[in-house]
Amino acid sequence: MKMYSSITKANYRHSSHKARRAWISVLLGTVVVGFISPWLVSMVASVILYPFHATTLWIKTSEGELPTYLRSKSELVAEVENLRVTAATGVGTQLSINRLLEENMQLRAMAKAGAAENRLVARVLARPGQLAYDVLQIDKGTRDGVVLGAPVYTGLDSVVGMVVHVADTYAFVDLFTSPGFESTAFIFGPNVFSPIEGMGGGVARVKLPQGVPIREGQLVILPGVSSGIYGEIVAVQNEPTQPEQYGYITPPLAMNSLLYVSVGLQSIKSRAAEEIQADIRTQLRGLLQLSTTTTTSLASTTALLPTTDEAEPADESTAPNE
Amino acid sequence: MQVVTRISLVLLVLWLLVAHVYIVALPLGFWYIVRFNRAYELVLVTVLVDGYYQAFYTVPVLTLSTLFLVFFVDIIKPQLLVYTGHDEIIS
Repeated sequence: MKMYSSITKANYRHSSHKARRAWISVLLGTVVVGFISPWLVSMVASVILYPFHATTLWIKTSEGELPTYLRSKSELVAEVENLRVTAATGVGTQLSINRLLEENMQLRAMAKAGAAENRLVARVLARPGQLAYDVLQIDKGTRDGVVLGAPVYTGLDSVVGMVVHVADTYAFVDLFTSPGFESTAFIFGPNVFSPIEGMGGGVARVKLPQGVPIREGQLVILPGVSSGIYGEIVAVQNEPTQPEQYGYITPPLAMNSLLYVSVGLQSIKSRAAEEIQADIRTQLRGLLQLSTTTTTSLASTTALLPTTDEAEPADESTAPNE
Repeated sequence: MQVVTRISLVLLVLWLLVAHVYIVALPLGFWYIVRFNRAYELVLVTVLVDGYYQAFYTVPVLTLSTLFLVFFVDIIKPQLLVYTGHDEIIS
């Protein structure tokens, strides 16, 4: 009966709470002791955990059969992991090498082109997608010899635009595909000249009358730029009811793929016909105008020569003698 | 029987922590806390491990997180019990 009463629900709960309180007190006390004197906890822990540490050491270093077996398995797993890392790193290294080779080839091609036509290589800092306008930003400026109106090429002879603003260390390149750009292009195939206008988004178009045989794939060059192939016709819009047909042209390389461009050192900026005529007139006047020395010598020569009035009396004096 | 299981598991967790096999030790310890009521002994284990690695000189993360987890589970576990019509308890 007494035994039964000692394990009633109430008693169990009471003893359970007491045990819980005791546990909490021990735990909190241990933690507090650990904070107050960490060296004491470390010392006690090192004594208690020595067998565990020794076991670990035995498994890691012993030459026994079981540890060797366990170790060899774990070592093999680790080796597999290392090999995986090495393989992944190798793939990454190969990718880096390929990227550098490709970059080197691009730079070599541009340097070769630059040697022939006196160009310099520039890196593209920003593209139309990153700028507010349809222009490229390159990392070369007046310090490097970039001038306003210089043509900008991709590859050997594919011209994409010309420099419209130059600062000390950078320049902006207006693309031939920028909206509002107008020039004259020559189309191989029908062999005709045609006005070309930029449409934006890396596309320009040529406008031709109906009947001129233009097809996709025909090359378009800008005759104003020496060796300036612009691109090829990628689409033709031809509606028979309309008097004109359009050929849409894109450069061979997408703008987002441009990493390096080469910049010509001579400006191709066109000038107005009146300005050119005025220049020619000025030069001709300069050629025809006598210099100051010539005028002075002519004046002195004229002074030495006898005048007509002085020569006439001589003739008269000789006449009576005759 | 449960006492033997608990002692074995606690020793296993302790050894795994000393051997730095955290990938096994931490899930096992968490399961231990959730599975058994009042897993206060695990706090002592973590105090020993933190003391062994001298973590009390800085912040004994293992001890504090175990302490929090044990008391949190201790408080939250009764709320998750389901009482059936036959006075059975399903956890």
